[in-house]
Amino acid sequence: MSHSLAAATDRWREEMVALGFSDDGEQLRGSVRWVGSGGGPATARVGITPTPAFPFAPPQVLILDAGARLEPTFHVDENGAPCLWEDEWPVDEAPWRNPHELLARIADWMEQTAAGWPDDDSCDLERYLEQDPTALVLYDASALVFDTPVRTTIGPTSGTVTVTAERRRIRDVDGRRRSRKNNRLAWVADIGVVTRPLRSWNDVAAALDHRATEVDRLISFGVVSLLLLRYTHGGAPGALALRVRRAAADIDVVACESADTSAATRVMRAGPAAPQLADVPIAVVGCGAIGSFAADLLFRSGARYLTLVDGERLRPGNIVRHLARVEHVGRPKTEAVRACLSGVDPDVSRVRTRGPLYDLDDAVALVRGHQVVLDATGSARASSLLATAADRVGRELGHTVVSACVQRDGDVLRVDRMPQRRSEAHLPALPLLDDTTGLRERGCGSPVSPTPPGAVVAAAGLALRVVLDEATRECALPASVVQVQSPQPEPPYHHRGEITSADSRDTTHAAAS
Amino acid sequence: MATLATQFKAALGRIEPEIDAKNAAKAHKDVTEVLEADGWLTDLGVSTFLIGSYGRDVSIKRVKDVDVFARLTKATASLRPGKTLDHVTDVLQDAFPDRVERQHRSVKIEFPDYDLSVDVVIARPCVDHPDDHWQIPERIEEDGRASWVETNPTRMGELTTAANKEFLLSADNPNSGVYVPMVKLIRQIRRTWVDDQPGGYFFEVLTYHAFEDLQPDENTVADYLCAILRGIADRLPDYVDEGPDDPTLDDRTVKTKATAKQIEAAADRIAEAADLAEEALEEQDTCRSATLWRDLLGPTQNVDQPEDVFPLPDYCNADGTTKSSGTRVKGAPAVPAGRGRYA
Repeated sequence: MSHSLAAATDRWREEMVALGFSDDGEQLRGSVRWVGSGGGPATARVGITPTPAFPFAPPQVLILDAGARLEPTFHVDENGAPCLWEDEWPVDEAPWRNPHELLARIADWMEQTAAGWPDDDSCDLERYLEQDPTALVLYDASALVFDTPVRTTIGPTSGTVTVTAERRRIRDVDGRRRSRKNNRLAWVADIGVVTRPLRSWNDVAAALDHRATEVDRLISFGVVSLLLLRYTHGGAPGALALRVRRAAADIDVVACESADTSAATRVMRAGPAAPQLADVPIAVVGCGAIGSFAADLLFRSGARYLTLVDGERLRPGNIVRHLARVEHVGRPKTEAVRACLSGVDPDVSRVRTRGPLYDLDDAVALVRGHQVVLDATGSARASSLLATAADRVGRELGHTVVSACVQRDGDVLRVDRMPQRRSEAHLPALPLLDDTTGLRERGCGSPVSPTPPGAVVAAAGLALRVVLDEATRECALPASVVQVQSPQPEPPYHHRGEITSADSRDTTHAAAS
Repeated sequence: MATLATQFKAALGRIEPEIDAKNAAKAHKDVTEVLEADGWLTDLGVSTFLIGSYGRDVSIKRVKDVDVFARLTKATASLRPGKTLDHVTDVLQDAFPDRVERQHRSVKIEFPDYDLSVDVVIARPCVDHPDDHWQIPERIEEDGRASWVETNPTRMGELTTAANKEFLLSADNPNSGVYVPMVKLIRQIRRTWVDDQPGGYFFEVLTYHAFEDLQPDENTVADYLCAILRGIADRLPDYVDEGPDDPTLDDRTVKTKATAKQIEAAADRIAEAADLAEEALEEQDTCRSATLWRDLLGPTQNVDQPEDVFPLPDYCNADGTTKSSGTRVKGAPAVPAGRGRYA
């Protein structure tokens, strides 16, 4: 611990002593006033121990004597100690460092506990049971089959189990010679609203209600070894996965981490545009460095109707600046990228691949067929074809071409959108410098750009912003967006930071007036 | 106000005679096995237990001698202590050659490997109060006869246990007894501030009386120490001619080898120590306070490598100033972006 924090902790202890707490050098003990469930005042005795994690984490608090009737329910750890703060705080703002706030929080915890946590919607029933930290139970919340044994399968990695929607009939499981498919079955139940944690099989059985007898029988028979309980708490949905096993006098219940595999959950973190993006046709032309990462970001953002355009194979030298990995070497870059996307969501049925652009008709057809075409080729010819196609049909259809690149070895990241809208102008081009590094790959004719991977990924992120702006029809971004990573001699690229064609126009107008 | 509870906890750890305790227990066991294997002593109903500060668990580092009370439970008034001590010496001499020394009323056995000695004191049931007290030889004549003096070595242990249950840091924590820790701290302060006499037991009794007189009820070791030390300082000048009442025997006072001059000198020094403790407690600056507590408790004694009993917090310099808090700009937040971040 830093000197200042250690000194602050000692001062904190002194303040607690000034509030009447005893201090034996390890635990502080004292009184906390709170209002009991009947509205009457109560005085609790508590023990407060700053653990080695303090002050980065709250001190451990034990209720030694609540001073009134109090049965802990939610927000307690495995030792029954109150969990006062579920959220994390920067150490210099942490409320537990103020003794008054700490004691007020303890009082509030007791009052909330006495009142049954009326506004609480935490769904963390796992914490109240013994837990198996090695297991992860996967299930599709949109395809659960309730109140009957269902098959489980081994999940994608060690320790994971998937609960399927495949029913197994009781007759199948009752026989002496059971099929392997009828071992390790799961039982899925909806136990509705929970008002208190489940801490044992008796609690689970009570929650299962009329189903408990049958589930008990199947567990005892060694058929069902997993329970998946769907519940709500404070209106929020939750699921509790339990590994169950008949022990001598009871049923052992061990909680496992569980996770929903449904599409709704998988796109939950994709961003607010995800639902809108799902059906927007987008083409990524050039599946090299920027194109591969941009395709990945688009897919992760919810785009599913994608066309990947490239004619090259993936080479070992590409990998360090490419989404794909060593095992994809030799495959067409489009296929390699598609394979990577399937690792994000197995459903890549609407991700199509094709060879390179052939001519202007081909480019026009591509623009016609896609609301946004991302040009990540870095090829003057391909970019010219797409710019011309955009100019020809884009305005009429409301389709755009977004051209992304890095320049000056990654010092400048640039994205231009075409066609231009009324009174728009692109930022001026950066002159080509004659300072090529001479990097060439053996047996490969074209020079290798020394652009580092970080610049490539940043350019893909910039391209994503502009593509999303067009795909969602927000159209808020100007024709050119440039990030200057390292100042260049030529204005307006002589300052570090982001510039756009709109900024440049304002500056020009201001200078003219 | 600086009570520095974590530092006091560490200080008590530093004077705790952990290794000595293991060695003392082993030495006690070895001596007892020898005594109980002897037929004559067995017939006299020999039974040993630890007495002294180590026996009461109020000793501090380092423990140099351990007192073993050898009760001869079946001894009668006719038992000659001189003969008994001779026999005990012979028995122990056979078991521990060249390490045994006959004393006036005890037998001393050296344990050089442990750097401590064991004093075996023989005792018989009190002739007048056989169920309450024991008697030990006061002076053994050449013919082996002796006059006997009453003693009750178990009583001080009982009083210690009771006081440690009564005086607590936290009323609802029976394990937070503060009497025993306070005796240890007072013993350490005596070693630091007083020349040899009066001895540790004398101050232990003073501590006991201070608790009984003041009935302190504090929240920290620092507060207790201030109160008790002041109580001792106030009473010590009263005991120049006659020691404090012996809590173990009615109408007796505690004897000491200290001269009146030594007790007067001790009273002056303890008064100084009490002033220093109060200054440390009232000091608002933690590091300055810590150095005062350090000076009060002094270094560990009778050890090869003395160290300050009271460790300064890591953030304090030895001169009581506070160390620089590092390179972070004062007032700069640990998380500049504040809350609501994602990465």
